[in-house]
Amino acid sequence: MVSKIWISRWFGIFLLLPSIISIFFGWWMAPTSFFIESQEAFQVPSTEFLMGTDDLGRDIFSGVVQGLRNSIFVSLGVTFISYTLGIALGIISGLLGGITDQLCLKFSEIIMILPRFLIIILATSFVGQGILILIIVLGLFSWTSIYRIIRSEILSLRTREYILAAKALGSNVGRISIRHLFPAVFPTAAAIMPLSMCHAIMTEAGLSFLGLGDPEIVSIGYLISNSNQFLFSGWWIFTFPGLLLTMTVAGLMLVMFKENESAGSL
Amino acid sequence: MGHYLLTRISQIPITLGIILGISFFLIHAAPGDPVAALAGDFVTKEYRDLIIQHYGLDQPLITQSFKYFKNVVTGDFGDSYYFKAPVFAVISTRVLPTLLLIVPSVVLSTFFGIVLGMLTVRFKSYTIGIGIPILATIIYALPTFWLGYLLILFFSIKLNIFPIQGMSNPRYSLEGLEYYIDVFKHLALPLLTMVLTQLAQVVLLVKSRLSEEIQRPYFKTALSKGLKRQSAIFNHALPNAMLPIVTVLGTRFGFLITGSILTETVFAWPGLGRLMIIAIEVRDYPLVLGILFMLSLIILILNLITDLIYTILDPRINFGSYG
Amino acid sequence: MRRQMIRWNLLKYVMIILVMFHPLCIFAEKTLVVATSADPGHLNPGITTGYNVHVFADSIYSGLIMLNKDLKPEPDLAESWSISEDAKVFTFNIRKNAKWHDGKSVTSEDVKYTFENVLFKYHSRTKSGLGKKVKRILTPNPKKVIFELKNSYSPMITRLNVTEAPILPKHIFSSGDPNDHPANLKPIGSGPFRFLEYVKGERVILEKNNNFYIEGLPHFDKIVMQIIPDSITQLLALQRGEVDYIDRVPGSELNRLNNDSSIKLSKNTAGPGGGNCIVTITYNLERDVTSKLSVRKAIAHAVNRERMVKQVLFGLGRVAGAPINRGISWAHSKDVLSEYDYNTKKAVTLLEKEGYKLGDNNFRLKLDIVHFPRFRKYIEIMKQDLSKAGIDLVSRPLDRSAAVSTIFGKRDFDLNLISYCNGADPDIGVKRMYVSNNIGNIPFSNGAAYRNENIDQLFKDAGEISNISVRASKYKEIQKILVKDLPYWWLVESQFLTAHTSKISGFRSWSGNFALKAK
Repeated sequence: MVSKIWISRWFGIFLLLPSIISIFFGWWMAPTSFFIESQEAFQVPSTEFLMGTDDLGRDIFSGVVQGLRNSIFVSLGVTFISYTLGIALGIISGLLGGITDQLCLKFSEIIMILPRFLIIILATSFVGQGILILIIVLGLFSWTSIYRIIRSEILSLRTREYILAAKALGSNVGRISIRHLFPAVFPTAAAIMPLSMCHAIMTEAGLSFLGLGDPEIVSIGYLISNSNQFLFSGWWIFTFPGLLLTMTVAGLMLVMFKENESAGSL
Repeated sequence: MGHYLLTRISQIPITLGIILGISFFLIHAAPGDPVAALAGDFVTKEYRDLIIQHYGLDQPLITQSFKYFKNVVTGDFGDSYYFKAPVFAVISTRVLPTLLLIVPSVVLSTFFGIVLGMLTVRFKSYTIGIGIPILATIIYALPTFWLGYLLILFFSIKLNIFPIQGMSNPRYSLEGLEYYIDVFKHLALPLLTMVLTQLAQVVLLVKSRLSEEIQRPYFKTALSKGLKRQSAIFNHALPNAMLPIVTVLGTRFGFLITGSILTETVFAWPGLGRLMIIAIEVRDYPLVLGILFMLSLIILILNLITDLIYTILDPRINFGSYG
Repeated sequence: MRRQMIRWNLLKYVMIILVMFHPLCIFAEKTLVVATSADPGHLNPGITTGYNVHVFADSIYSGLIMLNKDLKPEPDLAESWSISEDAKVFTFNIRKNAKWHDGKSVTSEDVKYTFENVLFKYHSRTKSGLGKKVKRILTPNPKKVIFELKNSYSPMITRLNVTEAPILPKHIFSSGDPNDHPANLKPIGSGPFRFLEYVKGERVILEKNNNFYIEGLPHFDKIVMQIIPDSITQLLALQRGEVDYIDRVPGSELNRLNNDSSIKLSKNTAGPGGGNCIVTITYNLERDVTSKLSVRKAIAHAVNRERMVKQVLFGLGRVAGAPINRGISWAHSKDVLSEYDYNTKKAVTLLEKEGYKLGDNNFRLKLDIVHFPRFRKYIEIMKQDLSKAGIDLVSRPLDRSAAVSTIFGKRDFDLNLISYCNGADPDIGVKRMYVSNNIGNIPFSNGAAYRNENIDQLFKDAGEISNISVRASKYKEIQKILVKDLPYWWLVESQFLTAHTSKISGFRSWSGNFALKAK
């Protein structure tokens, strides 16, 4: 049983190799900005252009390398923000219960229902389209799932003996949260992190597809949305970015394979 | 429990009100107005003034909001600027296609997810135990429209079984049973797309929960008592593992509605997701708010049901205050 | 007995299923299936210039004339017409057998009503072009209508087709507000096809008008206009035979489809949404940097327009030769833009002379450009080209409504990119970009805020004269001035591609009623 998990994990890491390499060696492999350099358009993959060039003559390999890097960073940013919010609120909500809990729940419902692209359209029109605003807005609107999971964990944890004992010994809420609850829920949160990153990457890709991404930053979503119409006329424009996105997302999911995990959903 | 239920239900209108309120100001804050979409590519000042006055958009926002909410309370969501018909008339024709796509996709993906999850645990072989989850994950990771195009290329063009787009055949109109079969044929591929993208979540979840249950003493006891692995899984481990699956169901509906947009685009399926995008693009304020209302209502009800089921299934949880 | 019944029912259902899965169902009706990407919302072509409405509604209604392939007028509702010597009085004779789809006769009252109560209020192009020019409309008898203009205006005729001036039935619309009338969703027109059904988000179904005033037309019994948002899906559907005609095909498919004998392509410069379009950069003359002529010239030199034709349009178009589209051949000043050739060195020289030196980041200047998301490709090329001259171009894509309010409402831009359609006559789509009374929160107007009294006067004169050679000289004069002042930079003239199965021919894709003669 254990080996099965490890095989899946290693396969996941294998799939993540392109992303990992892009992050650490990208500056060396694809030095020039994707947007600036331009060669002969529609070139089939060759030794010079490993993944060919797109309809404007840009090197797809550079695009993919830089895109993977950017997409991963974006997803890390989004996950960081959403996790900070989600875990904090989850602990508070689960621990304090009562009115606080109800208010937080209500708040999370509202956030969950408001459509993200409407918010993004608004935010970008006020502040301009940019990667920073994208990360902030996505982070601010993606915490509801982690919140719910942490909250339900807390709800079942707080009736456990050691918590009751701590309370009996006089610890206040803050201390209990930090010393006992947070370490208890952190493994769950950490285990789901790859999933949260996946969601962020795919959401960013979807937003780029709809034209709402940052046009100044190459991202995998940008490359895929660009390539849609070349399904027949330039298969390499279409295939490589999509392939790399699939590998990265699948890799992230596989890496988090774990035996005793009650989550696996977001 | 009954008290809890009542409180939750009574809170729904409040939540809806808040959502509608926030959305009203949000959509009006978005730069641009309906004029550009209604007029075409050429607008004169007089036309612009005409439209603005006609829809009362020149009045202060507060006045407009009072008028809108006064109407909403009486059940009147106004007329769509773009479709020139009452908002609910426009939405109601799209609700059914959306539900047709979403509900079966959740049910089918849950069902097959459980089956596949059980298979991976039941058989000790490596190929199945690893192969199925990996395959499901890869399918999940594929960009949605890739999946859509692949399915079209294979099933519609190569095998010529299913039609590519729309909800029914454009060439000849059909009645009765033939019509339903036709809709079913058109539903097949978009539904398949939606099912496949959700499959991985369920498979992984079931697999991990079942693996956990198998470790438990009661399972080993059951096996040693001579129970076959298959029945042990099915009769004992599975029910215990169902809890998170149910919890997840509720949250999935929420994301699915927006997630169906890509599928609706590729297959030209006339659902609410695409309608929402169009409404926002043309700044059709009444329509946007109407769709939001409808979607919010659905999600809130589903959340409530899920939470209730959760409390029933896990008696350890109580919702009272701490201490 | 019961078993027999069950078996019969089973057999019946199996047969139905078999028949349904069999792709060949023979019906006597000839149906044309058309694919388009946008939902119209409503079907009244008189209250909007929007392409998404016209592509559907122009087959339901008719205009006084229709345009042939060379954009010259042919009879439609009007079987004949005469123009006075001074081009001030236009008389039209409406066909005796022209009827509305509900049976009533089309009369001059309908024409008068449509112009005065609908077009001059809601149809922006016709309103701005003809609204102030028409002194009055006379209806001496039910089949004769006379337009009396304040000044001579010979292009009048070309603006009377179904896209620019569809005729609406007075007896239906006068009972309410045309903008909100139930007939907007259940139109009664006089065109070759009558309305059957509009399923929002899915399709519009039209059927043949058996009483159409042109004998023998149309050929098809039914048109189903299917709304398919994704262009790849449209192509796949065409390939499989689910649709017969696609109204807009991406240029990237040109080569591939040309080699496919089962599909026929046609290139067009005009369509139901307007024609003779030029993708244009607007300079914000009210901003410091872009107010400098040398900067504007530098940008013009820095952009590789040939590349845009090749890579964005895939050859479907040409580099703009003048501020007026080549399609209006009599007014187009040939090659007048050639002095601004693609020359990065010239651009750099101009910028350096103006004092913009290279900074640490290799850029001397930063400018932003507001545009609709669909023009992204142009911006990407411009970004590359301008960076070679040391200009950092920041892209600001905004959705249509937001872009319009940012550009024309708030005037918050350095540059913007818009496709301005000239129409059949410069007075229609060209004038609006340059005259000083068209500055303000008016979408698609004088975005540059260009003010030149000379230009204003020339446009006014050209609109009022009837002699075509005098008009031509005025427009050529205008273009000379514009080239000198460079308030805009005209990039490329775009064409669009339509595709249909080669089993059907006779499409008139440049026109609103494209399926009139198809069979």
